[in-house]
Amino acid sequence: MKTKLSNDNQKLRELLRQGDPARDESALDPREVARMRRELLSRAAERGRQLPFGGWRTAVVVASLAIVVLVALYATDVIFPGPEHAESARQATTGTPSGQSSDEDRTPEVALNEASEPAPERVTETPVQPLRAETVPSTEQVEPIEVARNDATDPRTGDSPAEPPQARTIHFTAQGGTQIIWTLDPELEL
Amino acid sequence: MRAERLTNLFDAHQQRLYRLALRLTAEAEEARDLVQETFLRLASQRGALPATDSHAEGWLVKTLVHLCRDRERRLRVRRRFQTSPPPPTSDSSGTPETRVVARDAVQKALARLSPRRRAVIVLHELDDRDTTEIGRLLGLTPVTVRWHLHAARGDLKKILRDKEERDEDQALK
Repeated sequence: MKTKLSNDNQKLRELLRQGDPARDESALDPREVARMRRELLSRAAERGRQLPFGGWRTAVVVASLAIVVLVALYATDVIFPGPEHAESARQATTGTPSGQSSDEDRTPEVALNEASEPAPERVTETPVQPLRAETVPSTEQVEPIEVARNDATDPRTGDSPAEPPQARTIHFTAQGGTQIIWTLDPELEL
Repeated sequence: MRAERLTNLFDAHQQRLYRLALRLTAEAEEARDLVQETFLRLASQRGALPATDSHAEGWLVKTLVHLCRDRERRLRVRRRFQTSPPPPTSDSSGTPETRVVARDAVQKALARLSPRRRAVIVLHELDDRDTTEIGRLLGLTPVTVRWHLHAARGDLKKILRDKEERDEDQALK
C-alpha cells in the first residue's frame, strides 16, 4: 500500500486482484450448498401448491370481466343486432312498423320514395300527401301546375332514345301562394 | 419440471453468484444469504423461469445486485439510529505492507461505491467480463457500463490515494 498509486488502470487491477475477497474463499461449503438446494426445492413445492388457487382465482376474474363486457356490448347493440333490434331501429326512424303504411304518418322521405316508384304519369295525377298537414296543404288544396318531363322524342326519327332516366320535378302551389318543388331522384333505389 | 429446472440453474450458477456476492459484500455470511435469497426469489417468482441459461444468469445477477443494494440501505438506516457510531477501523496504521492490509483497503474502497458501480468494476476487473457481457447481466447498455467503469476507476484511485497519503502521514509521525 505504500507504493505510490498511479493512474494506471493495470495497477488498479492488480491491486483489486490482490485484495479480492473471493481469492481465498471462492466456493460454498458442500453442506451449505445442499442446505440451500433443499430450501429452494421446498420453496418451489410450496409455490406449486399455491398455484392452483391462484390460477382458479385469476380465471374467475377474467371470466367475470368477459361476461360484463359481453352484456354491455349486447345492451348497446354493438354486437348481435337481431331482427327485432333492426325493426325497432326502423320504427324509430320511420315512425311506422314494417308492412304498414299510413298516409297521415308518412314522412316526406317515404312519400318521396313511393312517388318515385310508379309511372311518371301518376306523378301528375296523384300528388303525394305530405306528412304534416300544417306545413303542406292537403290533396284538395294543392293543384299540380307543371311536370317537367325529359323523355323527349327525337323529332327526326320519331323514336324515343334509350336514355338513362332523368330527374323529375313536381311543382305545387299552396293556398298562400307558396311554391313547392319536389325533385325525384331516378337513381334512388329502395 | 420446474423444480428440476431450478436445481439445474442453482447448480450452474451458485458458485459464480457466490463469488460475486462475496466481492460485493466482502463477508462470507452475507454473501451466502444473498445467494440463497436470490435463488428463493427465483423459485417464488410468478410466471415461467428464464428460458435460457444466459437469461437466467442475467436475472440472477440483477437480482443479486438489487438485494445487495437493499441490504446496504438497511445497514445505513441501522447505523443512523445507533446510539454510538461504529468504531473506526484503524487497521493498518504503521503496519508493514501485507496482503491483508491491501485486501482490507480495497474492500473499504469498494464499499464506498454504489452497488451497481461496484458490480460493474468487480465483474470487469475480477471476473474478466467485457462491457457487453456486463451490460447484458446488469441490464445496461455497453456505453453505460463503460461510463460506470470509468467513474468507478476514478473513485477507487482517489479513495486509495487518499488512504495511502494518510498512511504515509501516520508512518512519518
